[in-house]
Amino acid sequence: MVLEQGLRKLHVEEQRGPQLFSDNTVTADDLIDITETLKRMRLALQPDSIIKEPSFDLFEGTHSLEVNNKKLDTSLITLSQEETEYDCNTAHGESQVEKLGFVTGIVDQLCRYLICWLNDYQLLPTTILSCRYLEYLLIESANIDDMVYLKTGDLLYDQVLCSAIYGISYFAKFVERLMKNGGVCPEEDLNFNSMGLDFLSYVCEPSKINKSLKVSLEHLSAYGDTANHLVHLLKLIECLVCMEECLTKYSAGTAHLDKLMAEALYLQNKNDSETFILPLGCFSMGIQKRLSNQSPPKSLVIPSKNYDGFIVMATDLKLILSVNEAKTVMELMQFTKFFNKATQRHVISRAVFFAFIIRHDETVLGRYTFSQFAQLHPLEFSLASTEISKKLPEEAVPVLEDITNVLFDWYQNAAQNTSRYRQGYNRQLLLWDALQVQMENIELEFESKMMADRANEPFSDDSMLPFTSWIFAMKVTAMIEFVLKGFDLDVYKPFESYVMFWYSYYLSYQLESCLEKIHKFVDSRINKIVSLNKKIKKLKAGEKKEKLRAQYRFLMDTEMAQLQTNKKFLTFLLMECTIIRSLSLSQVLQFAILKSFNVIDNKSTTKCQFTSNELLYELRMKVFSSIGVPEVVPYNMIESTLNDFMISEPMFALKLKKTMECIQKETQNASIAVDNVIKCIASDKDGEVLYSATRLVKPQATDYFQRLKTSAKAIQLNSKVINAKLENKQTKNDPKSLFTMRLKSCENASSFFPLLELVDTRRQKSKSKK
Amino acid sequence: MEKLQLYDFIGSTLYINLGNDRILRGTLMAVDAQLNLLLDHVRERNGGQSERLMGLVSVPEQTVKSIKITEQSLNHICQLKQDLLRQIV
Repeated sequence: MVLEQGLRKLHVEEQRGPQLFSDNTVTADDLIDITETLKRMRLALQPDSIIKEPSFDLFEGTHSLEVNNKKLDTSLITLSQEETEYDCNTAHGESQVEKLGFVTGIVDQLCRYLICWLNDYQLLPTTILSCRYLEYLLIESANIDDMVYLKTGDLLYDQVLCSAIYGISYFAKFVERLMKNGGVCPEEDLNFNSMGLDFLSYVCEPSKINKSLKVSLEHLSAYGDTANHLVHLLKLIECLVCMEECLTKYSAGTAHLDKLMAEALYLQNKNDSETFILPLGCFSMGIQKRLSNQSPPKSLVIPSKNYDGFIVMATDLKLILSVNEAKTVMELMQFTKFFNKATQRHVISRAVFFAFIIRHDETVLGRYTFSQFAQLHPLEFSLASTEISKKLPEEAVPVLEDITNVLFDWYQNAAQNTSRYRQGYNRQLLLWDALQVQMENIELEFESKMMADRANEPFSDDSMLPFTSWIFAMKVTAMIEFVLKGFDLDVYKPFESYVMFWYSYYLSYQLESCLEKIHKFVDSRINKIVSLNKKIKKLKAGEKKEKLRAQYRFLMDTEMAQLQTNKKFLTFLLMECTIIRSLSLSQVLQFAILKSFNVIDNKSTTKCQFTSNELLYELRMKVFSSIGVPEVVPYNMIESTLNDFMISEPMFALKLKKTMECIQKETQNASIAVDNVIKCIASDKDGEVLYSATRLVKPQATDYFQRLKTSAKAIQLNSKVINAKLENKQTKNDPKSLFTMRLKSCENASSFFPLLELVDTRRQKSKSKK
Repeated sequence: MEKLQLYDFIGSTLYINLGNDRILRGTLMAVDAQLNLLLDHVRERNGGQSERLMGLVSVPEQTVKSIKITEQSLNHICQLKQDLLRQIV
C-alpha cells in the first residue's frame, strides 16, 4: 500500500516536473510562453510610452537593480576558485601553528570589521558578513534553531573559531534589536542588511555563548603565549556579548566596558606588530551573490588597525549609562541637552540612550512613572509652590499625557545624528505650540475660578501660568536651537545670516523675558516664605503664632528647597540666554557694518523671475509660520531692523566706532557670562547663585560653553580685522569690488556662530588663475 | 487572448528566463515600448544555487530569453478582460 502510494507520487512528480521555486508549486509545465505575444503587443505603444502599475512611483524605479549589468547585478560577481570551493568543514593550515595563525587572523579581521561597520558607516555584507564561516554557521544553525559547530576535527576551528563567531553574531543581534527600537536612523546611522540571515533569534540568553567562549579560552591555555592575541580577542568578544545587559537588565554597570577598553588598548598596541595570513577564499563578496540582496555589488572593506574604535564606543556608552545617576529630572534634562551636543556620540550609545531611560515597565529610569515624569519637568522649573500644582484640574490630565509624548520626542531627538537633530526640532515646534494653547486655556480657566499665580501678588497683574510658561520656554529654546543649528549644518547662505542671527537675537530676547518672569515669581514665593518667619518673630506667643510657625515649617520642608534650586537654575538659564543673545546681536551688528560698506546685502544675488526676496524669507521662516507666539516677524519689519542697525552719513566714522564698541561690549558680556557658567559647571554643588544641573555631563557642558567663549573672542577679533580692512585707504573707495563675505567656522569655536569673514576677491582670483 | 493589451499584464507574476539557468519571478510593475521590464518582489533562481530575493529589478529586453506566465494567471487576466468588455458593451 505504502509502496503503491509512493509510486503514485513519483508518477505525479514525473508528470509535473520539478517545481521552479521552493515557495510555490509552479512547475515549468504550468507556464505559458508569452514572449512573442508581448512583443506583438508592444508595437501598439508609442515609442516613448511607459505603462505602469497605478500606485507605483517611477522614481522608485531608479533604485532598481538592472540584471546583466556588472555594476548592478550581484549575480555577475565573479569568485575565485578558492572562494567558490571554500570548505568550512576543513581545518585549513598545514601545521598547528599555521592553523592557529589562520584562526587568529579570521577573528582579528572580524573584530576589525565590526568597527568598520559601526564606526565608519560600512555595510554588513562588505564587512563581517563577508566571512564564509559566519555565513555558513548562521545558515546551518537557523536550520535547526540551535548553534551548530564546525566539524573539521580540529578544536581551533570547531570550538574556538565557532565561539568567536557566535559571540560576534550575538553582539550583532543586540545591534539589530537597537535598530528595531528606532533610537537611530536605519541606513543613515547604521546599516543592518542581514541578507536574510537569522542572527541567533533562537539564542535567548548569552550564557550559552559565554560558556562556549570560556571553553575556548581554556583550550587556548595549552598554546601558551603563541595564542596570546587570540585570547585577548576572545576576551574582547566576551565583553561585547555582555553589552546587551544595559537593556535586558537595565544594568548601569560598566565593568565589562572598562575591560573592553583595556582589551582594545592591548590589541591596538599589539596590532601594529602583528600581521596574520588568512586562508584564501575565507572572506569574499560571495555572500552578495548567494543570499537575498537588494544592493548592487560592493567591494570588501579593507579594515585598518582600528581597535581604538572599540574604546570610542565603550567610552560613549559609559557616558550614556552614567545617566542612571541622575538625581532629579533637571539633571536628566541637562544630561540629555549636552551629551550629544558639541560632539556626535557613537551610534550604539545614541541608540541605547532612549531605550535605557524610557523602559519597558513604563517608567523613566525605573524611578518615575510617565505621569510623574511629565509633572516633574515643570515642577523643577516654574510649577513649584503654585496654586495649580496643589489642585491640578481634571482637564489637565490628558494634556499631561500629551506633554509626556512631546517630552519623549525631545529626549529621543537629542540622541539623533547631527542632521536629524535639527529636523526633530522642526517637528517638535508645532507640538509644543499646540500644547501651549491647550494648557493656556486650562490655566486661564483655573485662574478665573481659583487664585492666580502672580509675582508680588496682589500688586502684579502679570499672571505667571506655570505650565504655559514652561512649555513656552521649551518651545522658544527649541526655536533658537533650530535657527542656530542651521549655521552648524551650513543651511544658510551668507546673505541670510542677518535674518537668522537677528531671529536668534529676537527669540533669546523672548526667552529671556519669560525666564525673568518666572524668576521673579519664584523669588516672590521665596520671599513670602522668608517673610513668614519675620512675621512669627513679631507675633506674641499663642495659638496664632504656633499655627504660623507650623505653616512656615511645612513650607520650608516641602517647598523652599525646590524653589531655591529652581531660582538658581533659572539664573543659569538666563545667563545662557544672555550669551546667545549677545553673540547673536554681535553678529547682527557685524552684518550691518558689512552692509553699510556695501560688501554684502541681505538679499539673494541670484535673480529669478519666479521668486523674490520676500518669498525666500517666507520660505526660510515657514517652520515658524504656524506658531502663535512668538509670531513670525513680517519681511518689511526685518528690513527696517537692518536699516536701523546700518551706519550712514553724517558722522559715519563716529557711528562706526560706536557700533564697533557695541560689538566689543556684547562679546565681552558673553565672555563674562560664559566664565560664570563654566565656574558653576565645574563646581559639583548647588552654588550660591547659579545651578547648572550638569554634574553628569561636566566635560561636555564645559566644552559647549568654552566653544561659545572662543566664538565671542573670534567675533571680537574678526570685527577688528574687518574694520581694518574696510578702513584701509586703498580699499575704502570700492570695497564691494574687492571683498566678499563668507561664513567660516573657527577651530574650537561654536559652529552655531560662524564668523562673517571678509574675503579678498583679488587674492581669490589670483589663486584660481594659478 | 487576442483582445489583451500590454497594460493587462501589469501586476501579474511573470517568470523571466535570462539564460544560463537563471530565472526571475516577480510582479510586473512597469513596462515600456521596448519591452524593458520593471519587476518587484523578485525571487531569483540561479542554476543549482539556492534561491534568493532581489527586490525591485529592471530587466532590459535584450537580456530576456523568454517571458512566461502561469496558465491560471493568464486565464484570470483573460476573464477579467472579458468581464470588463462585457460591462462596457
